[in-house]
Amino acid sequence: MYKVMLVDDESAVLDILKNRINWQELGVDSLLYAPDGQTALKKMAEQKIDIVISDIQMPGMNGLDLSGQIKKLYPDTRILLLTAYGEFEYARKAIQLGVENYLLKPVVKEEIEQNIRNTLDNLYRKRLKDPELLKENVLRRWILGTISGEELADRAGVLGINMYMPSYAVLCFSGRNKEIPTGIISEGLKKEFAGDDIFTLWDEKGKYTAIVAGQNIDKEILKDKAEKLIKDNGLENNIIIAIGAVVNDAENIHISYRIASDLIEMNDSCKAGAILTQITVNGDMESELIMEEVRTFFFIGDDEIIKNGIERLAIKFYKNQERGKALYNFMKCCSRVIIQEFEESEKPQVEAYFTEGIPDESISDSMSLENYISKIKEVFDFENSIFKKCFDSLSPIVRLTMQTIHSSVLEGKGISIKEFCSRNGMNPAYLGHIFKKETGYFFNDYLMNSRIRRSVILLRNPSRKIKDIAEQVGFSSTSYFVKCFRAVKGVSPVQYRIDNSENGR
Amino acid sequence: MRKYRNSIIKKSILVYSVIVMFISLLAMFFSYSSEKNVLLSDLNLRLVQIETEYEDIIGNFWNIYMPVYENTENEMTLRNYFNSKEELSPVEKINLKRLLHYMAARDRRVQWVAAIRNDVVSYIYYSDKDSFSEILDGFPFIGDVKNKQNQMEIYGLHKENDGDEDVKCLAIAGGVPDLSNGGAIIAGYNTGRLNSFSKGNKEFESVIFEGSRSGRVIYHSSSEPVDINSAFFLPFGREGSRLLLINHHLYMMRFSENNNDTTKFFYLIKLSEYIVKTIKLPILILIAIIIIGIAAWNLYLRNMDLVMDEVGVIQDSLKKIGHNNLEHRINYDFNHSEFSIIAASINKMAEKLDENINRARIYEQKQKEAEMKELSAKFNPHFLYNTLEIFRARCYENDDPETAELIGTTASIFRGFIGAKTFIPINEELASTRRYLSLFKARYEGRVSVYYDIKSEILSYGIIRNAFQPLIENYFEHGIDPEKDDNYIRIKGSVKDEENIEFLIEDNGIGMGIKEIAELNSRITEPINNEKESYGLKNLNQRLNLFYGDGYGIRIFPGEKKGVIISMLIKKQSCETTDE
Repeated sequence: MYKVMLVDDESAVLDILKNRINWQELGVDSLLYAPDGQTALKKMAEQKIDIVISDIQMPGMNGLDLSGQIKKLYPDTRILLLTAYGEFEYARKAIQLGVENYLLKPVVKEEIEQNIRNTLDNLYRKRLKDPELLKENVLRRWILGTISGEELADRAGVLGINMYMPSYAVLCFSGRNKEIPTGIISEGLKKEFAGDDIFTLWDEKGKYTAIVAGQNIDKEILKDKAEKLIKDNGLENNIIIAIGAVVNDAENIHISYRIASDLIEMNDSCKAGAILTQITVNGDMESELIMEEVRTFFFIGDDEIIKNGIERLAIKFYKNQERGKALYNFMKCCSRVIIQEFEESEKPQVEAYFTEGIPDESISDSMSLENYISKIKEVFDFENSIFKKCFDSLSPIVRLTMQTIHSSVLEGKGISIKEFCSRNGMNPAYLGHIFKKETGYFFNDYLMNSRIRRSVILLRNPSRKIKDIAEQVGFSSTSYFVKCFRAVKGVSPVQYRIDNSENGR
Repeated sequence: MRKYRNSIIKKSILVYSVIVMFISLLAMFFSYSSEKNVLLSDLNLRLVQIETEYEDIIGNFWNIYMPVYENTENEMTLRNYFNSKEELSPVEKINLKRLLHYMAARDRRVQWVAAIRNDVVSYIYYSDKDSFSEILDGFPFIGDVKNKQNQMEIYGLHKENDGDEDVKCLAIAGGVPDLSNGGAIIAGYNTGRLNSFSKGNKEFESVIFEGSRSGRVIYHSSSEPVDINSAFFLPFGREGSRLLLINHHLYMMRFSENNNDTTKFFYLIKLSEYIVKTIKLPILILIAIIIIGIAAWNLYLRNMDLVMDEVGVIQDSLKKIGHNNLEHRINYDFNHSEFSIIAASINKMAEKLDENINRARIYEQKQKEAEMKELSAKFNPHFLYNTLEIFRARCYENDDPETAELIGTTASIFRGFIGAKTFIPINEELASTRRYLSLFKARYEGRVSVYYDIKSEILSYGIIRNAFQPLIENYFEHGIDPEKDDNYIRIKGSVKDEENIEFLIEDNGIGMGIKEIAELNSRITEPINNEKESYGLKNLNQRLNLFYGDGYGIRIFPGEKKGVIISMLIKKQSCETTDE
């Protein structure tokens, strides 16, 4: 578990940290405090501190000097600096010290929380502290949409990022082999987009991501340039490129990223050298429904329910004209669920199935119902085995947590880490820590995502009220549900429902 | 007035010139006169002296002559001679010699005495040699004696060759007791004294003294006598002087005062020599006056030029200053102290003007700053921030994160208004603008979009605070069309040229007519008259104009299809170099 220390001669920040932040969920078991730099260093000598949050203006050693010391003595410790308004110049110097970020006092809970989560994420994922650490942090939070407009505007100014370009778009690069040649890609991007700004970083799931900001950016131009990039650098066998939607406001980049990220996810099986762009404006509700059902099957573990459920699905597919396509789609949905639940590293397993031969569509079309059902089952079983393999590699407590979360979502019951831990006699911080470590998700994020995904199924019924849906999936308030829904899907639940009803079923 | 003064000046110059000329003529005349008098006085004196000597000689002749006849012996001798028909006996010769000697001795001037008979031998006695001899035929006066008519006759100079030299002498002939056979006693006088008088004048080389009796030249100082009668008398002449033309030469002749009908003495001077001698001084005087006159005129002109040059310098400088070049100063070293004083005054005036204009500009700017400070001083900003923070926290607690964000944005906006610096990075100003716009966007709930197109290179430069706010307010007040759903406002910024940056704020709103736009463009350049006009486009234009200078500010243009485009021009200026 991680340890966090606050170094500040005032108590205001300590109050916020102590009372407003759920450390256990984040996997942090102790929050320490030191009133000045000397004391801080003393405490660090006694135990390993993973994150130091320090004020700059302090009696004795100031925050910048302390940062320098920590960098020398404890290079793995990550640092967040606090600065009063008007001391920005000091704080900007902090970039050179390799701190994660600097924050404006008086501290806003959301901002400090976002920064702490980001820093912890860096720790969990064992990201290296490279010289552009602060920039990477900002870029990552920018594409994820977890940075406030204020913070983004200020950091962008400091880092030389122009937030006032006419258009922005996000490109995601996914490797077909293990190694993504980032150097070649980065150089290639600079050449192709010579007149525009390019920012590159690694996203959460291990995709190499690039943000393009410029004057003439539209889908076609991006597609052409991506194709050229692959061709000119001989990357036809190495990568696929997903192109997110073009947005006109820098603050909406997360929409573009989500689209690009989803494209990678959805088209995981496609050949190397492909350029993926969004064909339809909104998500494919049909596939998402299938995915949720599959997910439920994966986690439930009750064979009887699974059998009946799969049959039901197969019959539904059979009734449609394009059976072969439906089978292929079903397979893709299963893989997507696995990718969503587990890390990138499991991908090769999923691909294995396809190398053995994709079932011929024409054959599927002429199959009988029984054969078809058994075929579906076959596919499911294969995918399930992969799922089980991945799932079993997790520790038992994490597995139990995931299952509990899924069942609580299905039942519409509320759940909190504290409750869960007290019921099972666990240290909440320990659970939070290990959960993040093994799944890559913070407990609450995973819970929230599950709820949102479940709500998508419920939204299918046009007569169901948003309020009821929110309650049913376990959100404490409708507005919070709407906010979370929007953060994940990019549109409000109502809008999502409208968009998808237009697409038809 | 000027014409009048000019004519007076011209007249005075004329009068002055005339007076100067007159005085110079007088001076010349007087100098000429005095020269003449000085030069001629000697000659006149000599003329008198010659006359006197001549009179003396004449007068003395009888003294020589008469006593001879008073002595019976002498008379007998003379009678013998003049009456004899034959050659004289030696005793008679001795007696004659004695007689002639006696006569010669009575006047030292007598060179010889001769007894001349027309028909027989004449005898001559030379006093200096004490010789008594017969007169040869070539004796000059023989001819004159032959023609003697009067008792006493005076004969002029003849050249007498006395051995080696020509001797000129004056001869006076007196009558004889018995004129039966003709003849006379002639005494030849030495003209030495006369010559010394006539040649003693050092000044005139060409002077000729002459005397004539009864038309016959009796003395002349030149080698040949001058024949007056053949001379052509010019009509000019004053008392005692005449001009005459002899042998192609012009002479001036001066008569003696004592001239009578028979005896006339005069001297001649070559006119050219006379003029040269007398005119020297007047000419010198004239030249001197002319030189002085020219010099004076030159000096005057030069001084005028100097003055005009210096006036020119002042004129040029005034022109420069008049063309709004208030930093120009007159740095000339004037000769005339009055001009230096004038230049100093002008410099001071320009300095004061410049100062005042700058002061006015600074004052206006300070006014704006003071207004801002006053605004910030009217309430304690921390109180405001803290209160807003309370609202914000409450919004989060009530699950209203959007409102919480808006409150946060408002706090940031206020922080921007009451900020310390008036010149901030463009980045910051745009961030502030974005915040401001988010409030408006919230109000219009998705019916308005905001687009940016700012070139990265201008972000590092600076701009005056709150430059975009009036433009945004203006759009939302007059530009946005509440009926439509697709309103937009676009903020573009790029480098215009080496020194300037241009922002274009375009919208697709209601827009304005061409006339209205023109009116608005001219209205925003007018000075701010009252409080109501303190904000808005006029204020922005004035602030830009004050901060950056002439030519900078905002201008409104009609949009391509709808709405307006507002162009804002500023200088490329970085925040480090603009310290306040």
